[in-house]
Amino acid sequence: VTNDERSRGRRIQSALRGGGEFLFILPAIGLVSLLVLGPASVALVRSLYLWNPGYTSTFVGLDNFRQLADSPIFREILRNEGVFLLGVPIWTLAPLAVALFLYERVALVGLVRSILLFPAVLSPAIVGILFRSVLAPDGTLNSTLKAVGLGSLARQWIDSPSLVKPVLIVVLTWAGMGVGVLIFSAALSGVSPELFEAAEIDGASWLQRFRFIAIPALMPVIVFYIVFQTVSVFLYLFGWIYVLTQGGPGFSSTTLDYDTYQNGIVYGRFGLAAAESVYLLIIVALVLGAGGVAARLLRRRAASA
Amino acid sequence: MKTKSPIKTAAALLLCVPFLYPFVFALFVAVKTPREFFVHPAGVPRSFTLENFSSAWSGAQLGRGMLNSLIAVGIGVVVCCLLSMTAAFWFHRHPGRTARLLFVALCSIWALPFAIWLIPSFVLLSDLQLTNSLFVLGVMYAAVNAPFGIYLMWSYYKTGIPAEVMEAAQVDGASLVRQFTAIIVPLSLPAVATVASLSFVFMWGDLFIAVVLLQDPGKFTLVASASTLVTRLNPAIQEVAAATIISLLPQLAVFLLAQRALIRGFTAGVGK
Repeated sequence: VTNDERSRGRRIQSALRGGGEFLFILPAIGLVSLLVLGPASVALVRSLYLWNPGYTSTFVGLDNFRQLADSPIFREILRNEGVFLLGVPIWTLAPLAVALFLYERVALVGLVRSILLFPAVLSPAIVGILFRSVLAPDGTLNSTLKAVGLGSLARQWIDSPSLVKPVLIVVLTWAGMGVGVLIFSAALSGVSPELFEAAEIDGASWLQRFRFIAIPALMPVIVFYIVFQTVSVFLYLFGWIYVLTQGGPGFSSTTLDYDTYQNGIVYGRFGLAAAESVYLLIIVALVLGAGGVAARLLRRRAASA
Repeated sequence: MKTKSPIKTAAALLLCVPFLYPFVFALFVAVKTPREFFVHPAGVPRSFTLENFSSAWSGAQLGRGMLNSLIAVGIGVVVCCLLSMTAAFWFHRHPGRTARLLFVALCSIWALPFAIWLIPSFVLLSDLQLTNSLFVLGVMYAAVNAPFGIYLMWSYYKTGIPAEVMEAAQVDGASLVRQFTAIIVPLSLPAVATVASLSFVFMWGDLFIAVVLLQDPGKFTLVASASTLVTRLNPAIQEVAAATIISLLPQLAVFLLAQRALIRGFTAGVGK
């Protein structure tokens, strides 16, 4: 065997290895493209059609988008999303405060964090079922209130158009607390404890330490968390809405993802559903874009400070 | 270390009450006899029955749901872990610009609303008569969770696997498959536990994908079966409470078993 042949053999071997190596990434790329990215591009195209799967679909341009924009229901849904966004400051500040509270001189911190975290690992749908039986008009909350003589406080918690969204915000605060506390606690553990101790010795109140030490030190994580919570309003409410309110009463708690499901799967208006999901995508992209800009500004300010 | 404050600790424990209360309450409601529940819906039970559990179990087909969930989620978790490990290994070996772009593209599907790919997926899969399949549901779960899994595995390989070990293996002439199975897999088991437990939490809890891809009630996952209880006109509160308790048990088990791994996943990339 000559040297030349040997080096050629090695080259073939390494080429084969290169080809073989591609097999490590192929399954992931293949499945994600086939089941997620491909269908998503189908939605982009089909949002321009009166899409009748199995029959001929007619191209209608932006009609679906226009029809949605003109629909009072769609506008109500957008307003609902706006109201849910009011939850973002609560969903951020509440776990931040709890994380800071647990940071100092609390025994059994691990246990407390575990208990707070438990609801987060449960299915939103299952927890939603539980809350539904608590919050229904003849549910356990109202019957408890009546039993202890506070019947005047009984409300139609999830059956009144004005209460349903605030009640959902409270339920989501409860459900998201554990993950928030966990994330902010992890971030706090990166802040030097001397900073807090020095401030305490200087007589800074708890609120001052919260405002002037914790918030600035955790700003990057807080921005990340706010963006995540904002996006979650648009991405992850389906399970809650499906079991807790079915979007009702009327459309007063319908979200974009729930309505897309209704339009597409329940009513078979596939083109309209596709257009609605494109609106949803645009909103999420805008939120993430804004979040990216905020994070960059923050880094620049930190670099110049 | 500063001394612990009993008052703050007591306050922290008090804070836990609303987070435990709904579950304890559901348990109380579920074990009461209907007669006691009628008279005292709230409060500690003085009677005990498992009847609500058995009627919930049969009424909402929870047993079948549990089995269906185990099949779909089992397939999903295994496939997701395999996809994450192999793809992250590839990205670990390809730090270049193109690979980086591919990585970002793959991870960005996390931000895609479910609705935008799920409904066309449903249409395409029904054309191929692949809906109502727990296997397809499991693979779908794996595809959706793979990007986050790849990200977690990749960041673990970066820090958790010493470069010298990989170099030594290469010098020894170990093939890629051998490097992967003999070094990468055994060294990254903690990260695999994180990917497995996090994807379990997501898959077991999913309702959206399940209700779109499954129409046959015989194929419903546990969550889909349980949710039929509330979409009925007059759900029996005690039965619903019992069904909730039953449905929560698998998640409670995973939470207790894999809490550390889960926490690592939730806080990936924060602090320390």
